Amino acid sequence: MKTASPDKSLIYQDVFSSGQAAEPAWQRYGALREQALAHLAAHGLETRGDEAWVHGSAGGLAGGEALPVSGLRQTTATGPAALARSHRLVFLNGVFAPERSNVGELPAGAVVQPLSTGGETAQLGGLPVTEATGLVALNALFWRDGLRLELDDNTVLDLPVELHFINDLAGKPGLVPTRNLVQVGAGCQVTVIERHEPGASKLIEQPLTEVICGVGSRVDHIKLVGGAAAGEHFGRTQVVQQQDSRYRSWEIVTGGHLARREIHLELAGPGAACDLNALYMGRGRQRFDLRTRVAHNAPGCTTRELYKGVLDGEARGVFDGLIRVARDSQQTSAHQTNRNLLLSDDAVVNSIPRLEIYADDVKCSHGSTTGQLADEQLFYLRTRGFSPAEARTYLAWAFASEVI
Amino acid sequence: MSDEKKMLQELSDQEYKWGFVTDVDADTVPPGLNEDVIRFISHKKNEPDWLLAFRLKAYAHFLTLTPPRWQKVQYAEPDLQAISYYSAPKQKEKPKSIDEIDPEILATYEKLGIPLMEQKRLEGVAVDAVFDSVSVATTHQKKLADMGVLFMSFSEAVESHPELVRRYLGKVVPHTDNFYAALNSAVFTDGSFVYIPKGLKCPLELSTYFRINAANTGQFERTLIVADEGAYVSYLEGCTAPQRDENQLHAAVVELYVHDDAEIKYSTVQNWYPGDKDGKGGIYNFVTKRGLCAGDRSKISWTQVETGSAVTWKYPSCVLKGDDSIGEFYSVALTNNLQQADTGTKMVHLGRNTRSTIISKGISAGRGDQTYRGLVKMGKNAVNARNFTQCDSMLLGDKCGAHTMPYIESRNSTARIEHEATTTKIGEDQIFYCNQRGISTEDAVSLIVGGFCREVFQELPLEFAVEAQKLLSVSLEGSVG
Amino acid sequence: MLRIEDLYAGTQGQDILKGIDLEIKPGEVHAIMGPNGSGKSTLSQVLAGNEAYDVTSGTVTYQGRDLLELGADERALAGIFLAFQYPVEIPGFSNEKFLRTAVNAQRRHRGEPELDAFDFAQLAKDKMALMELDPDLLNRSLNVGFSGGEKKRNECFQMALLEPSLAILDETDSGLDIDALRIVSRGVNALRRPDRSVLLITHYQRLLEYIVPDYVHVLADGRIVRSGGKELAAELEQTGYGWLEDMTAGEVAQ
Repeated sequence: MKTASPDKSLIYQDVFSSGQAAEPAWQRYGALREQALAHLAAHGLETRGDEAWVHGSAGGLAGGEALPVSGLRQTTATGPAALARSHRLVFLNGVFAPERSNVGELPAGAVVQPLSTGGETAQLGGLPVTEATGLVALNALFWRDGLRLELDDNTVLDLPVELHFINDLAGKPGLVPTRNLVQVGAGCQVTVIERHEPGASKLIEQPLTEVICGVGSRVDHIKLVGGAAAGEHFGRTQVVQQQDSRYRSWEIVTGGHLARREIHLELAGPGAACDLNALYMGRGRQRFDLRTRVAHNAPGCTTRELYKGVLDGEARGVFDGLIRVARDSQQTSAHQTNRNLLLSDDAVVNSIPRLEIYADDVKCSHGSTTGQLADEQLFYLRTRGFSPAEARTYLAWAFASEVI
Repeated sequence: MSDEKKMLQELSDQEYKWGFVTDVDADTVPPGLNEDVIRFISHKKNEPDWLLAFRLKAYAHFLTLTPPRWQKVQYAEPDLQAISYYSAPKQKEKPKSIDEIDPEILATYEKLGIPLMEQKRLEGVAVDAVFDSVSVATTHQKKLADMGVLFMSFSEAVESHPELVRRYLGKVVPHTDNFYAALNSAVFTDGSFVYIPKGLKCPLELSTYFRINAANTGQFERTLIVADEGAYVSYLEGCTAPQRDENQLHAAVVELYVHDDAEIKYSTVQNWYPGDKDGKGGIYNFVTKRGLCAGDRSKISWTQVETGSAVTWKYPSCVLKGDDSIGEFYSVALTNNLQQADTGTKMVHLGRNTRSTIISKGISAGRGDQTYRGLVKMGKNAVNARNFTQCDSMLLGDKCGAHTMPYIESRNSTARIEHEATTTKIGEDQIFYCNQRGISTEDAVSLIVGGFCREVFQELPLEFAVEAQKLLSVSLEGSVG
Repeated sequence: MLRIEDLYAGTQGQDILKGIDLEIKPGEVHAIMGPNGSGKSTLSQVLAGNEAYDVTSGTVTYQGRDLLELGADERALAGIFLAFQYPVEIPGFSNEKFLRTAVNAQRRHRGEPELDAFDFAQLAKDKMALMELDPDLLNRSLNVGFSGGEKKRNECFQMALLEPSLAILDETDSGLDIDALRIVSRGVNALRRPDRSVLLITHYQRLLEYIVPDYVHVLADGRIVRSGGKELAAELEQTGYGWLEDMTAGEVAQ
């Protein structure tokens, strides 16, 4: 079928099989890992040729050099500044670092802890949107830790849950998969912030977050991929929304040599709404790849997507969004917008906004624009005393600010 | 309105009006695809060696290819060995005048509304009639020749103007382009050739009317239109086929080549047999159409109204190479019953200040499934290039599908691309409003859909706009209850 | 002309009209007034045959025929015209083509020859002048991009063209400035004839200064609670609709 790359995935399979005994973390969630192993054995990594990889790059994953690192190393890297008040969990090279974390007080009905602790939860990996792909299997095989957030019905977290993922392999290649589970009951409210810094060159981080939004719940999810280092980032969010829930997402991507972020979201209950925003700002030879897959599987749901790219230097930005409205998902409202600003003639942008519609009583639209800063706006600012460089900076920020 | 209405009624009473079969004696090679068949076609047509070499090269390349599967349509792969690649109505010689043409064939075109006889010809439109694989007649030829316009069947052009054909053939759609283009390059039998000389604005509409008649044949015609510097031509293509239970393959190639300051306006009203209500039979329309705006300030405008075929797969495209060149694509596609269409365009901007406009209107009814797929690409040197795309879908009923898949790529910061798409249905409030003014639901649907398509219809030559509106109404029959 | 007897109707299983009785004779102008939500618009939609509303019981007789048996287009052809409170937009479908189609549907129904584009243009020109409408409006898509006032005047222009036997104006005065109101009223008054009737639905008394009704009815909670002559409208202007609540509450108490 797909032109897989079985050799690379064989390396990963071998690492897993030979390292299994020595890695207690890998022995947890055994069934999930077995499935992942079976998928890799059958299909390989599938990092090219497939529809999911149009204009995409698998970066270091295609080479198979970055292997899962074992155990916590000492690092002086501090990562991005923390919020003054939050439920904070820090992960060093994919493993919980209690000395740097501060979960703090939690209301009754809330569990906020590392996924490596406590009993196994049946929800993990059990989302319907978890289509088996090579990347998902790779993550499922090797993750050691991440967030476990569970809220009983009607629990409200006033402070955000803040996750720091700090990676430092002292310049060596390595693969750092993490897995987060956010499961909130009916009527809950929570904000989750993921801060990623991909780390140095040849380091590949691979976070996968699953979010289950209970009936009428409100989940805000902020994902930041920043930092100056040249590592790679393959992030994925999988969301299932129950009736009348609202999920809002912001993905701000400025860091990493290569960053790919995917959202796979299912509107499973009537009246659910999602609001997906992204801003990707690339320069140098950065390559950002943002993909969304939204499935309207219930009537009366709403999707709003706003993805904006600003690309300078020789950067390349890809937006590939698909909204699929299933038969009988009537009264759907879905709007998808992608806007790109090219600041350099060596930058490249690809935009594939797609609608797949099987229901007739729907309001769906998408729009995509690509261009440069408007001359009139530049001129206007210059008549007000801004230098050309200043004017460009301000206008680029103005363009971006709609998302933030 | 009443005439129009009556006509619609008549048309809709017969499911597919153009589904009859003409009984003519034909020269048909046995089904099968191999080098010998290609040599046979070339020999039969008295072709020069270079053309046979072109065919064989294409065939060799074709053998290395597999059929494309990325398009969003489902169908049983046509068995290319079961097709006969040459079928020509038997006649002693190429007819010297219309009088020598088999009266059955003349009657066929008459029935299709395309009279070929001198006294009945359409004013202002010159017609090349292609019956199965070969051109049977071209009207107004003398008048055109006097102006220096070459409008003839492809085979005739190969004989009388081999240097022109050789210069342009395969320059816009190389034989390596895709599976069906390679197949066409190997086995094409006839088609139309047009050359408009420098500075001439062709006063006649040129039109080719394609008709598949014989069973188990495919139609593989090749159209080549060249507009020399400052020339202009409006060209129209129409097509129908008999109603048959098996699927028939139509794999044409159309190449447009436009020099400096020249313009080609290419309109298609495609009404191949779509198959019956249960999806049995119908034409597979897998066509490669592309135009090259080679010269500065050149322009190509594609307008298409697609109501027929069981499966349509085509992307009339423009390569905007010349500076300040313009590409346009206006499309109405309707899928009803079990029809499927994956259609759209490609606008490849290479030159400076190039402009393109895409207006696509898709209507899905019954269990029809339709995809707009389009590519807009701004090359590195496309300084100040502009594209505007508007893609609207209308769904009639809850069992059809409408999909929009634009692919946008920009490599130039001064280029600007805008894409908009919407999906709508006919509102019950709209129907009620029309009803309240005494307009029946059926008329209201047809008028609302016509309004939806208006921006495209107004791009068609007048007489064909009326034809297109009628076709649409007929094709919509029974889709709204 | 029109006789409504004990009409119950509503939507989504809920009756909004709860026992309407009303008779309109040829040549009469009736006004129906009432607060928001009293069922005024529902009545107009039910009379015009909007299938989104269900009639649960009662009868409506129009020119001796059972009106409820007819589809919306058949009612239109029988001479019922509804000026919509919110005229519907149809992109791409020109106002001219829409109206010519509608006029010819009427003419065909009456056995008259249809108008071609030229005859229609002449007819339209005269009627548009009456409504002080820009002739350019004919070539634009139906109601698309029309201002609020243009939409309402366009409704009356249609009415003038179609020359209905029973014209129902649903809040045609809402959102109109005084000039537009004057123009609309002129159109309606021009239509008045002994064999034609008008049903005005309005929230305000203002319109009735321009189109003087023969009868005024007050609708509250789906029923006509008071009927009277044109002086009733003036009285309502003084008292407002507040007294209705007391009255319906009082009735319920009884």
